[in-house]
Amino acid sequence: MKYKQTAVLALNCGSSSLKYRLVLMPDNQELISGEVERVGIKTQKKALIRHKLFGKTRSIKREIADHGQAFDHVVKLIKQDALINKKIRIDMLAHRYVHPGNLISDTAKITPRLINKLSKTLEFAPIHNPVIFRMITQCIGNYPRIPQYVVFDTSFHKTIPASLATYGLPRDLTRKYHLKKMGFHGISHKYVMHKACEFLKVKENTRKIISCHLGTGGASVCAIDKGKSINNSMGFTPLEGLIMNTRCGDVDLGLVFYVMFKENYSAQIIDKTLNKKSGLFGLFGSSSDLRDIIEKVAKEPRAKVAFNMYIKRIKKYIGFYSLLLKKADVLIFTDSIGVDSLLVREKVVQGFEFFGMRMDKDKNDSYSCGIKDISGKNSQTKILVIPTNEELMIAREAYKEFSHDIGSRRKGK
Amino acid sequence: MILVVDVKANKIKLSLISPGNEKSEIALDLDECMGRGVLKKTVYGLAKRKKIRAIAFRTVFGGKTFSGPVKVNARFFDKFMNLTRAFPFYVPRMKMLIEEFYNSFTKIPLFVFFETAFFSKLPVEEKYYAISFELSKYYNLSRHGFHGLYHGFNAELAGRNDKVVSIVFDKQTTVAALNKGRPYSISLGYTPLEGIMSNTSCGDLDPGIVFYLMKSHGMSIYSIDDTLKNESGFKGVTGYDLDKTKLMSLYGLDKKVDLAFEIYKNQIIKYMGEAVAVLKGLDKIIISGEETKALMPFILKLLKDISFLGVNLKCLPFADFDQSMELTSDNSDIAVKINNKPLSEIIVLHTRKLLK
Repeated sequence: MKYKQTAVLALNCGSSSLKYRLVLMPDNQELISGEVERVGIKTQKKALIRHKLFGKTRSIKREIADHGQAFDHVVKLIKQDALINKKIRIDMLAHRYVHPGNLISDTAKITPRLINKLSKTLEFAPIHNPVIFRMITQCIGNYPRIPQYVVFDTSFHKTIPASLATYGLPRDLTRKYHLKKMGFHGISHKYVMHKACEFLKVKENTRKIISCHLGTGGASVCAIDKGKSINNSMGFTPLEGLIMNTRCGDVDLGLVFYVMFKENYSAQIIDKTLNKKSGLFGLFGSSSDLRDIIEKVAKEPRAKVAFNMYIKRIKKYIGFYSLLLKKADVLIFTDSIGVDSLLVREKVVQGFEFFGMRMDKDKNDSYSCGIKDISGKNSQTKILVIPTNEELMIAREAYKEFSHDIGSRRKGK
Repeated sequence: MILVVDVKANKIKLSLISPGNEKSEIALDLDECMGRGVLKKTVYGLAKRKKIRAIAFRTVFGGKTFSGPVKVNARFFDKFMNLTRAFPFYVPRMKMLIEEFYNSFTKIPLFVFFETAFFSKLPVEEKYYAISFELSKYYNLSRHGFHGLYHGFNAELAGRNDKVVSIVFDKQTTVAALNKGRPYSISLGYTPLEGIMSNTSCGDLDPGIVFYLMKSHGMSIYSIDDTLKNESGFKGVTGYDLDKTKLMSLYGLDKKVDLAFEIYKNQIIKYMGEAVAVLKGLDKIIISGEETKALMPFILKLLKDISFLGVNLKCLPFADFDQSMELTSDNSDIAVKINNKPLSEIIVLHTRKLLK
């Protein structure tokens, strides 16, 4: 059952950013979108708000101390826009939540009971969860009458089968602490899967898809079989998997223990080293931005090694998922690096004829925006570039649950 | 005759191999024979009956120092002891053992073979982890690999240009990508904890879990280390303290055992997929290791899972398992071969080459 037209404000808190989008549901009509950058980080530059109303962008610089202040600024701008356009209002708030552990698996309406549950999950994703949790409680305080929903990054991966989600740990330990592969970037992987099938005019439940969400911060690869996630390179936490800007990804735990024993380091120190000082930053040394590394690949050996390792890790996961899916029908590149870096796409697909993947170099080189098929003539696998839109997906998922709640209530009456 | 000395976790295996590859084996308890002359007496006893031309030791770790087999001389021991930092329990014991032979059998040449040596030729981006280079350099943290003697031999068996995925089924299971006689990837890393789960160790694990358990549940690093090494893997998932060759008898009958083998299979597939990606293709799969025979039903299931790649298996039952054999039919795009040569015979082959 569908409710009347609902304006959903989707909020996507990053560690130092706030992305937002006001979407009119169920038409999926985007009214406002924007991003607040450099929130609460030590920098000489002011925070930057890019606010887009019906395609027109305004850039505003402000001192913004935290995500709460960022949200207040966003609401002010939306209220100003509402004065000139009647369509603009906020009927519902939808939040992205990174890691709810095993406590919650599906999109849910925010209630005191849910808040209590969420408060127990902050440690699962220490960079993201506390920030989002504070945002949710602030919104409840400021807008108690607006319904709020929370959409989880892990929900899409709840279909990962036990044989792929279970770690080789003692059963008692995994049960007691709910240790299993959770997977992340589910909102994005699900969105690009929908988009790919829509673009190719095929049904989701017939396709085998490998989706590469390559962001400037986090990155993950997902294996999707007939519309369901069957594996994700990230694990119980976002630390496992690909090489990221400052995260190491897959690493030998024996090495971690060795350094901890040797130096008597605490978990905090090593955790920080692997999460914040490793990955591309650790390998290259002076920047964690892949674009800086690409610029110096020809001149600096460390840049070359960092770039090659980054590419190789993605290739390895595609190799794994090709075997798991028994060859993929579609390979997707998304998020900032996946969409903006033609070199990354080229290097990742290079030499993958064995898996049935051939790229058309001209099509790849000439990509500018939107969805594009960059596969070569004889490619058995469709290779697509699809910009992600997590906020739209958050709005959709929240609205779906909202409609369901309204429907249930009416039936109850 | 060549004597092969293979030191396991608690045992020491002596294999005396004749030029015709006839073998006599003795297994001794490691703790009982260390430094007590038992070994010396046993080997003297063997040497009295048959002439020993050389003694070859299998060693699990050679670090960056040893990139191939070495003939033992007085300088060897200092070099070997430099590896103590990485393996503080193993290296000194191994040194004592080799030294005992070196002092007792002065006229017999001694050779040491390292399971990590073959992987000294790994490409640089495969060798290092995505942690800070300074940290890697300071602590010598790099991927050493394992089962180099098996994988190296499998590389020799394949054609020079063949792209080979080599799998060793042993107490530890490893998967390597081989081409032109060189390794291009290996599942086992700096320590045996990485890669595919074993009877008691967990294999690949999100490091975030360790920090979570320590920070949120107050577990100590020592208890986590012990759990991951000694209480996990097949033992942890099934709850049975049996090794995987014995658990094979419950495969298909017990849900916990089935789950453990499914996890194990997916971990092997992960590394096979990675190897194919690194090699950019696949011509051959070569399987070896002491547990191959016992795990054959599982191996066939694994191969059926990847049959879409062009693996066309011959009809069962297969011929005499003691020989090396092809599992695939002539029209298979990818050949699968079992190399059933025992490790001691591989070491003897190399030793004979060195003697020449």
